[in-house]
Amino acid sequence: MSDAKDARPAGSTARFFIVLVLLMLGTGIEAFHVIAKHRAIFIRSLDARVDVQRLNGATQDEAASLRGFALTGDPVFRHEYDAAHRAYVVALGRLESDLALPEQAVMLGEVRRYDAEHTRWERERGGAAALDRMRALAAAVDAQLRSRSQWIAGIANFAIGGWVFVVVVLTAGFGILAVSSERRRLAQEVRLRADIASRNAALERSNQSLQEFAYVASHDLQEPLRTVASFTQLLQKRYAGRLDAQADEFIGFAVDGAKRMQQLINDILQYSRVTTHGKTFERVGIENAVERAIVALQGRIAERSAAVVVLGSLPVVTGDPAQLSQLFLNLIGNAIKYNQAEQPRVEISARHDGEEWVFRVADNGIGIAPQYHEQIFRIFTRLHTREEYEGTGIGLALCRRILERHRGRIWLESSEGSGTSIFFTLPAEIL
Amino acid sequence: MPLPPDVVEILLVEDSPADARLTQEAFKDGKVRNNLAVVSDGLQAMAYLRREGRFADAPRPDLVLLDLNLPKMDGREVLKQMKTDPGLMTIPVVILTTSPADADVLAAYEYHANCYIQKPVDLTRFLAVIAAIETFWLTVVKLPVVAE
Repeated sequence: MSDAKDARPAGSTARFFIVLVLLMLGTGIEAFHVIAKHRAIFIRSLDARVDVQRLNGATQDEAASLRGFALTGDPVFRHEYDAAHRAYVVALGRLESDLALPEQAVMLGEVRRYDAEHTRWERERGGAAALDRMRALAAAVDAQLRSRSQWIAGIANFAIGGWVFVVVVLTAGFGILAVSSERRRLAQEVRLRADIASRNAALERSNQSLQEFAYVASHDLQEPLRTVASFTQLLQKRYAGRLDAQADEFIGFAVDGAKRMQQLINDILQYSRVTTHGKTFERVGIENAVERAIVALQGRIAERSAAVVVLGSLPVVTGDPAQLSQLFLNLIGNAIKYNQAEQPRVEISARHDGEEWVFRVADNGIGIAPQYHEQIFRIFTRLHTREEYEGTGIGLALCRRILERHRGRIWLESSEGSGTSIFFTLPAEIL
Repeated sequence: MPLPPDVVEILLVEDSPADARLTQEAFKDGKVRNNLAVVSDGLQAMAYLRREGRFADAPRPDLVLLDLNLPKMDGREVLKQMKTDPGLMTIPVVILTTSPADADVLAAYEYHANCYIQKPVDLTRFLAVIAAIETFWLTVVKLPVVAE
């Protein structure tokens, strides 16, 4: 929901910048086109200016030689005049090809028409007028040239200014966009993190209060229960056989019930202690943890003449030493307990897999039908009656609890009658 | 040299009537003759020990069994006052409590408790512990004899 809302302004900003880029490309191409065109005109205009100066020079030479001939009648002046006139014609031809603007062409047309309409001698008489016309033409070309160059400069300035403007706007825009999107992303992340943190805190609080509740409730239940258990036992001890058989039976049930309840409460306490009374993590040699479990189980191992063997070597991990020993105690204990083999055999091994160790505790016991593979890890879940196998169903639940605290997982592979392999993982030490 | 008393006086400071009764029952089975007096809070305990008010005629106990968690004045305070009172400091105090807390154990010995026992949950073991207290404190140990 919030993603879509946030995406909309970002989309329109993106569209705005696409338009801006296209605009920039358009102005750029147009500006270069205009500059290129006017640059050509400008260069031709410079040539035209030179032509006009030559034309001007030729006209002055013409006038000078005409004046000389009129004064002296010397034929030399006649040759000079012819040379000047040839130069005039050449310059005029050049000017014609170099003139790029229509207004200049108009001016030139007038010059040609004047030339065509007047004879040489008439032109001689009107020499002054022809000179004036030439001067006017030269001035016009100069003026054109100036205005043209100013115009080109203007266009160039405008184009360059436009480009600079667009580039600046674009850079700033992208900057602002990047910064604002980064800021938005950061703000979103901060919000998200705060959200997660507050949810985690709430979860932690509720989890902790639940654990504390379990702990306090079971701890406080212990006291009155101890009284019930003690006095029913005292009753049994002092009055067994002194009442009738039925009374003995009833007392027996009461004693048994109270004892079982004490066991259950102890289990809940132990279960909640995994997190409420856990020790700080330290380096734990699994070999030692297994050794401690075997020592604690010595009685049961001897009684069943069980073989508990470690295959290969076991690693050192980070964890709570007491809890890791408890883990092996429960698993090895179960492997021997739920076992009808002549000689129960328990194999313990570990292999390194990526960032974790995968442990295996395998037995030749009675096995577990696949439909129970999940539920067997729940607290107080049992697959047998107390007559078949004693216990409350805390063992595997406690193992899972311990592994949850150690960021590990636990599962099993088994089928009825073919033994059980319990697998669990522990994070490998970062060396 | 005065003879050791043939009846041992014991003061039990315990707020739970059931626990007090259970302890009385356990001492009933004992071999040593004893008088077990029971008070249910710290103030009564101090009054008994100092023979104040209705305890004016109370005997001086040979052994005190003291619970830690008590109403009005708790067992830690009773212990502290006893062990700093020249008239009471020689009376052996056995802490008998349900608390397994290391802090309680440490504090008790710091205040010179003579021993610390956690009450077993199971009746059989409880009876065994009381029998052990009786055997040790009333038959093995030589208690101080204070001339009055």
